[in-house]
Amino acid sequence: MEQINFNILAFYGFAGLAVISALMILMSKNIIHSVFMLVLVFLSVAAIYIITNAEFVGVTQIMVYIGGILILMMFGVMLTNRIDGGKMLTEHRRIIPAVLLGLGLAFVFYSTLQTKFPLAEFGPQSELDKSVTETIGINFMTHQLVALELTAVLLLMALIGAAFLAGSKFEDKK
Amino acid sequence: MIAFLIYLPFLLVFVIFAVYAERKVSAFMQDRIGPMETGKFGILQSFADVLKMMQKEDIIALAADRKLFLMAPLVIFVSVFTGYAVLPLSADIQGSAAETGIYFLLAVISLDVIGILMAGWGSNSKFSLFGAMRSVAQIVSYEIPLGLAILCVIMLMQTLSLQEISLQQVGGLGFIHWNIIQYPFLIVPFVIYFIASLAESNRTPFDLPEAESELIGGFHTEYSGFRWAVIMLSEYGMMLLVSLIAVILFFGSWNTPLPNLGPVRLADWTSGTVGQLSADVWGTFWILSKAMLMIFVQMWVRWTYPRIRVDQMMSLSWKYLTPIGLFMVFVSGFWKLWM
Repeated sequence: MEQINFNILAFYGFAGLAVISALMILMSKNIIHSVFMLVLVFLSVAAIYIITNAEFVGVTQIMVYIGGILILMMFGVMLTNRIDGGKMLTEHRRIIPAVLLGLGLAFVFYSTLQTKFPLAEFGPQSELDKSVTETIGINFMTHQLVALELTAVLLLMALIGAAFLAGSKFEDKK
Repeated sequence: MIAFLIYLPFLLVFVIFAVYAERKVSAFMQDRIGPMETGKFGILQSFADVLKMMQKEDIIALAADRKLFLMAPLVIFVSVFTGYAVLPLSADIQGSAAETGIYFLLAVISLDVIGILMAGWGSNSKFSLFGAMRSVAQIVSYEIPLGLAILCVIMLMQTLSLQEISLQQVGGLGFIHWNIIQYPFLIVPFVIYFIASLAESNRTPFDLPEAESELIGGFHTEYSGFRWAVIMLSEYGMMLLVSLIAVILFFGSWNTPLPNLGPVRLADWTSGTVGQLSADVWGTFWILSKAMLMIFVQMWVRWTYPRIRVDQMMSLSWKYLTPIGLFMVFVSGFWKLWM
């Protein structure tokens, strides 16, 4: 009997979890439960990154998506839900565009999977003379410097914009 | 792996004694004698509490969102305890050798915010919701100065692995090799880290999320019995975790504080031989006793300062700690380049 590869098992486990929780987002009536299911989706995707040797990407996924974006989403949903009074439920509207979009997406996936689509190698990490974190850091400061600086400027703009929008209300009252 | 197996039972025992210590420390600060009835000097008080908590009914409010309410304490505890996975315990006993080390730790700790939101929203009570909102706002804001303070140490050590940071502080001169002595300006990031870590573990003066005089119990108002105990366990777990990180980053991790003085080789005597049991015992002893000292300071602060207001909490984080933290990252960069 062939030896069981635990990485493959873990991959299918987490991939299954991601798909099931993504379906639960659609099926769940309660929008709060959908948001919490999204946490599970992101966590399983992070786990898949980690078992395919992309540890840094996986941890960043947790940090950025769950620690940042999802918390913001939860705040939004929870505050509107309680202020509004009524329960927020998921509904089915605009069925025709949704069906067209779904079919289109399915076609895109189908045509991609026609060619051989290998799973990533789960084996031991390829030997580098520097660790992954060091490689990422060096690349940021050399090959990807323009992208890094542009992102920094973009984030600074967003920060100033947010401070301006939040601050101007208090200025008017004075 | 072995470090993990040691930390879990240690955490459970630690919580029982920490609750007792908290009572006695608070009594000492306020010139009282604290619990005295159960056992000699009230030493059995915590065991009595645990016994009481086990027997209590697990009450779930009718209007609560059942699934979220039941899951929340587990989510909080799991996310706090996952942080222990990367902590080393001695020269040979290290946690996960994950290369991302402390980065992973910071990422998973931020997940306990989700548990708090689940508890606050699921309870369907205005006190819980207010407590959860405050808690999340506080934890999310204080993660920034906390991250900046840790970044200073990472820049100087040039590694994310906590075990490697520990190994860089080994030496025959004991405390002289600790980061806080080697790089004296790290005292500022340490103070920032300490303040932010108090806020992360929801301790006074940052206990706004549970502020019993305004919000009854904050996000855990509706919990009773063992689920409440699990929330309490994760609060003390968080205290121990941030203390251990402070010890590893600034105070020499599992290294002895005693230096070798000529023929009196105190450092060698109190470090054991690497690879043997003596090194593990001494390493564990030093890292845990330093962490206990940090926890005592946390309790000391708790019973000395009053609670701060919400706006004071926000302005402390954004107007003072974050700019100072950024400046210290700058200083660390210059130090690394030119010293």
